[in-house]
Amino acid sequence: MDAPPRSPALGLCRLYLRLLSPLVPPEGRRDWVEEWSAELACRKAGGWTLLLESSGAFADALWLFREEWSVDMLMQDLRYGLRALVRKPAFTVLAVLTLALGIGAVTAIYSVVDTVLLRPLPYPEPDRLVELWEENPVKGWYKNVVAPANYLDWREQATAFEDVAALISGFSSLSLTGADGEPRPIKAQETTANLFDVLGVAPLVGGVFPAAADWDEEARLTILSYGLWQRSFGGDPAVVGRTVQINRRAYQVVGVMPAGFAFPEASVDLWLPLRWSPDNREQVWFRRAHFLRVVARLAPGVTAAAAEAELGTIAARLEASYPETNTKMGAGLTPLHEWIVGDTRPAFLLLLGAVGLVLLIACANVVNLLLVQAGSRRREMAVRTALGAGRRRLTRQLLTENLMLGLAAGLLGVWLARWGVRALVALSPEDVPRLHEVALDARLLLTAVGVTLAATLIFGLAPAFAGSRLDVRASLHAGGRSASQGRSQRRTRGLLVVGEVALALLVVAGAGLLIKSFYRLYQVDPGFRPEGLLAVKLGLPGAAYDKAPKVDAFYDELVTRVRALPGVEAAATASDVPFLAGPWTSDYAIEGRDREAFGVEVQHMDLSPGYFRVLGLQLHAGRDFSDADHAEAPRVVVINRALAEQAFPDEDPIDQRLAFDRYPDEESTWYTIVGVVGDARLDGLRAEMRPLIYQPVRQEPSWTRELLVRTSGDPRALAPMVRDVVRSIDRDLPVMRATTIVDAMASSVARERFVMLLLAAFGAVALALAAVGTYGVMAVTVHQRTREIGIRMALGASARDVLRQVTREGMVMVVAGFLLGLAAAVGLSRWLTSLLFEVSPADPSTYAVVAAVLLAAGLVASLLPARRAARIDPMTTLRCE
Amino acid sequence: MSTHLTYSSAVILQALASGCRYGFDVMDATGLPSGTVYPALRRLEKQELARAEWEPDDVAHAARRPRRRYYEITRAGLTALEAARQRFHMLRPAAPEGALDPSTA
Repeated sequence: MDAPPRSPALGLCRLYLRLLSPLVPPEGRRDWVEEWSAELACRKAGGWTLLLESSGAFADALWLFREEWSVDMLMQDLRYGLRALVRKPAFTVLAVLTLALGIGAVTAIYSVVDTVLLRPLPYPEPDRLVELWEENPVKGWYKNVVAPANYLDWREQATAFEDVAALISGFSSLSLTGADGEPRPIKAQETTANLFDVLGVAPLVGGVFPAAADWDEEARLTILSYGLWQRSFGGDPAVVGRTVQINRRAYQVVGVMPAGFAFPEASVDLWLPLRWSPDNREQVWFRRAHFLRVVARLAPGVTAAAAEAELGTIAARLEASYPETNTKMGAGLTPLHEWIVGDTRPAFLLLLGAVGLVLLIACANVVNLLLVQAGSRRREMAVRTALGAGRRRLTRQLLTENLMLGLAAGLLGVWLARWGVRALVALSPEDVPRLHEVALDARLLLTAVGVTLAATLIFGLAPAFAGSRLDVRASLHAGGRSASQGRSQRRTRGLLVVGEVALALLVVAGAGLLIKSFYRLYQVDPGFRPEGLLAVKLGLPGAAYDKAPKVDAFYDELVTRVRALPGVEAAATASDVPFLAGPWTSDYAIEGRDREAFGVEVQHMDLSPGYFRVLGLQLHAGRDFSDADHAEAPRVVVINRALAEQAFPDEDPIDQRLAFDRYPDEESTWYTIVGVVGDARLDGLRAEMRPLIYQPVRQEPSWTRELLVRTSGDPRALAPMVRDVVRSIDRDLPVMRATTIVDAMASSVARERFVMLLLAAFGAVALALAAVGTYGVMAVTVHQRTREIGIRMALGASARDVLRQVTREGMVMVVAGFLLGLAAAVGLSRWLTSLLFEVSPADPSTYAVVAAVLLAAGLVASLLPARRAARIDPMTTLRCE
Repeated sequence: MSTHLTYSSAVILQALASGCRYGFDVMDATGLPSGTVYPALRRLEKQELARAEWEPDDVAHAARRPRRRYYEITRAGLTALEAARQRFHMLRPAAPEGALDPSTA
């Protein structure tokens, strides 16, 4: 004999059978339930199989029920159901919209969350992939990019990894000359040859870089992304082996990666080998400059903890061997999935939580609506029972009606979910990882629709169940309103409203805090005027511009011509522009000072004369750069106020000298400070004002530069003119990017704005649903108590008394919900801390505004039915009764 | 009594003839969904081609579960099955071996 399985699934299956049993004709119902239950109890199948098998019961039950399902009757049911739904359009529209919104919003958000946060990375054995990083408490580094020499030592010495790959942190902006001879800007990612093997992805066509490419300066090879292959080469497999022109040099295509391969992100057009010179290995900068991202695959059976321990041992050994560069330089690892998902987690979990709360409110509302329906249909059910309709007939009628309701909601929900996923992907900030993988999750959508259908059926059948317990005579006699049942139903619905208001407060308070946080962020003074600024990125190909003077001549010519354009107030070039790239950092030392007496790190930016005027930075002391600060002239720098205050609190920084080494020696270069300018937040509004050093771009030659233009007009309108100027100087040079600084500033807070807007939308929906819920309950209460109110008015109660009493009843529910929600919000809001900027999670002014909004909505929702109650004419009411 | 069997009814009768005793066994042996098997068993019962009985209370009680209902083919059922075999050639080979192992009952 089989042992009886004692699984929760079995319990669920039995509940399911019991819920379905009213469908089965009464004469066979008990036997049917018993036989099914026994068979399920004897099954050895696991939970899901059991549920799947028991769902066959639905078909079985419907089949046994088939005598009732003749086509004529079905049509009659459909017609009747449609009429019933159309007769109460407010209920139908509200229920369908609420459910559809719930299905749509939850499915859309969950599809994104599932892809971005939960789904494993699309590589074989993704659990074995880790990101390696360096940390240095002295420099304030945590999870920092890695120096190449350190990476090479890890790769050679560690046994915990199957292999270790590295790629340059950030892209190279290059140009690819198409078949039409037109150069187009592309994003290239430089990487070690083994990256593709470490990730475990083979090219779709061709091969990968040979290992020697890491150390061969002549290895001009490239691997194309699937997207670029389709766009620029029409998906022609013969492109492998051919040469293409990248930055006007010939590169051989060795392979094409498959569609969907996007590492480190989807915008990469092609990959290039690192092509280090073998001499680099022994040079100090190779261990001093930190610019590599390192990705490794753990050796089979090795845990992350064991690998991290080995990495720590190697880092300690390197620290002992290279004190100059590696003092306090630790190393660690993070699972690659966590690294990529990283800081998007709190935001998406918040959105998922909020959408869950909105769904709960929506469900409470629909249950409320269905209960109200059940209440108001008692009389109809009683009449139909009195006229001879059997319970089965009534059940079938309600089933059809609710099935139509659920199906309509389901269809609309599916549409909303599809639309929602598309909107979410379109609205998401560009830096959200894995967005290109997001697609509507069909299984999830089916589950959501199924659950909704089941819920509508179960709650929608309530009148039929109540009908069987109905005392027909009493119901007819009392006009369908029995006092005690009305009270208990009112209490249930009242509690639902209290819950709805409490949940709505949670969402609205969260939205309020984020709105205030975003407002604070936007109020931050960047230190310069971002309006009227246009940034244009250019990269000169080394093939055509082989010497620094040629590069300088090009940019000088460009700046001169752009300054002559109408509306242009000022123009200059720089290595970085605000909000678009983080400046690089280095150690520094002040001549004649103990190295412990000042900070350890400064940011660097190279710029041409006049840049401060373009940005609008005030010169506090000394002078700006001039054309005299060229490559052969003495080295000079301008520092920002933060550095002046930190390093020279009591003296004049002008003419002091700096070196960018921690331990300067006779080979160090010394730079004289010639000016001090105001602080600016160059790498984001959240960034602190950090010590920064500006250097003349002619003394730090760079081929890739940003042209920054200030115009009195619309900077966007200036972009085409600047492009024309670039073409007039070098017709083969593409503009990598042209954007206004205002847009760049907006993108730098795009993630904050995205989360804030979505949460504000959820807050509005939650508020509306809670208000509708309150209104619905109060409206039904007034309707059910028309007679009582009529009598009271006949006995002398004034319209004001009635208005006050009904409003008070509504507000009691709202205030109770508000207090409950407030307690929960204060408890939960600390989870928001990481997403808030200069706003406390318990910010009193935000809560005051939220309270005002919520109570006002509650008041309106209570006042409308109260006014109707106050307008009741006692004579008419009593006569009707 | 007319015993014009549908194909699925014939398959179910065949399963009963091969020793299947419970509804779920018939489902396993025939691969038909419950929505087909159970209604068909009811119909076969009504047509007296199959006979159903509840297992004794004490057996179910000892196993701490509801009573199972077991099915048997009747003599009329066997005749009807034989007639069906003439019509549905597919039925001739016995049901797949092992699937009808009575020990699963």
